[in-house]
Amino acid sequence: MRLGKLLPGSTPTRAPHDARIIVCLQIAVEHYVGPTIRAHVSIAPAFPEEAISQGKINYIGLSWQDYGGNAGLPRLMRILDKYGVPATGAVNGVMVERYPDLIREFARAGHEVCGHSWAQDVREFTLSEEEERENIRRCVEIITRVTGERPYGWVSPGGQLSERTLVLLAAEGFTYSLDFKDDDVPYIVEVDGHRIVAIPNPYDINDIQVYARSGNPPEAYVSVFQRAFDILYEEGAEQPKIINSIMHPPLFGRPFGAWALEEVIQYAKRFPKVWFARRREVADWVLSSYGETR
Amino acid sequence: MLFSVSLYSLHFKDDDVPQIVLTNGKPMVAVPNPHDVNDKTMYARGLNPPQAFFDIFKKTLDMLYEESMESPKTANLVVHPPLYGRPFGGWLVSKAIRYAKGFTEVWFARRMDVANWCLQLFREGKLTSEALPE
Repeated sequence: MRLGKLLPGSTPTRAPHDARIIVCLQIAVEHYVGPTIRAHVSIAPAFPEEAISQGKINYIGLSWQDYGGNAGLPRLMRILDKYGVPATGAVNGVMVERYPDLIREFARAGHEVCGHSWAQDVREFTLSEEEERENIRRCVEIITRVTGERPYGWVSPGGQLSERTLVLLAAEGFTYSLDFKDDDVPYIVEVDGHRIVAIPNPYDINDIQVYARSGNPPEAYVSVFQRAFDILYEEGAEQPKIINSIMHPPLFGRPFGAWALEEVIQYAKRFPKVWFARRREVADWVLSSYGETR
Repeated sequence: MLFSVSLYSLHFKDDDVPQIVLTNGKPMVAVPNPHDVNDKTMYARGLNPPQAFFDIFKKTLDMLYEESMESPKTANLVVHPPLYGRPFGGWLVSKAIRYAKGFTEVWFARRMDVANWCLQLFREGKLTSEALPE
């Protein structure tokens, strides 16, 4: 099922720099505010279901996730800086509130801050229309206030959007959405008379999926990226393809995982015609190729 | 209760460096204790092959050693005797120790030693403290 109405011919056939592949490095800067830190049970130290159902506070899970802002994100930023490549941060509003200096530094370093709900456990499908609109506006407000620029993109926590998310985003001036997993190329959809760029955001190359949930060693992250890169690069001779690499600071921001970001960047840099892009640049490229400007 | 009588606590997973926290006005050392290099989370629950224990330790040590020019970091290795005390795991513990011994400027410390070192720095005014949230 495709979200929104596809505009035929809206997938560009030529990319900037004549790129065959567009590498989108994504840092998921997330934070659970409620007892649903249970969602991290598989990767954070286990917290008994019994304690969760009694409303007990999962201190150990909270301490685990605080690693992201304290040490994980600074480390990943250091690595991005070392190789001079940009990333897109899918940043929960509450993380901007908790770590304003760090997020400002992230934006100043040339990375993009993309809207990602107020918190990881504020999920669109649980909200009323008014609550969902308010959630979007609250994120736009704090990102704009702290970084000096509003977000143009959005990704729903866990990719679990509601039936009205795209309509609300379009009305609030967003250019693109990352809630799409149905292709390797971007395209434009029309929702309620507005145009939104659908940028593929698969979870294949994602530390939570590949390492924490799947029982693979950390090295699997790199080999999954390399396999995907090789095949998309081959196909990219016909039409530019997008590859996605997602890391969570409390997980692969840790020393045992962060090296994988270095490996991924080094691998992609070995090839010509590779474009390391922020998602916003991808959206602008898709719109301008279609004869649109923001 | 536990905090008020303890010199240090291992309930912290939010950084790579120890910190002083104040509990009831008294300093206590928060010594990082991540579960990354842990036979139970990594092998038994994480379904990784046994060797991943060493690989993850190696990656951790390499990265922290590179970053340690700014401030010393703590690397953690947690083993449960009924699990990696078994032969299939014990050899990886040996391998990890040998690997760490290959570096200069590595300190094999008991937690108590880490706590005493931090408290000494705190008393000398070289470490600041933060209050533990209620």
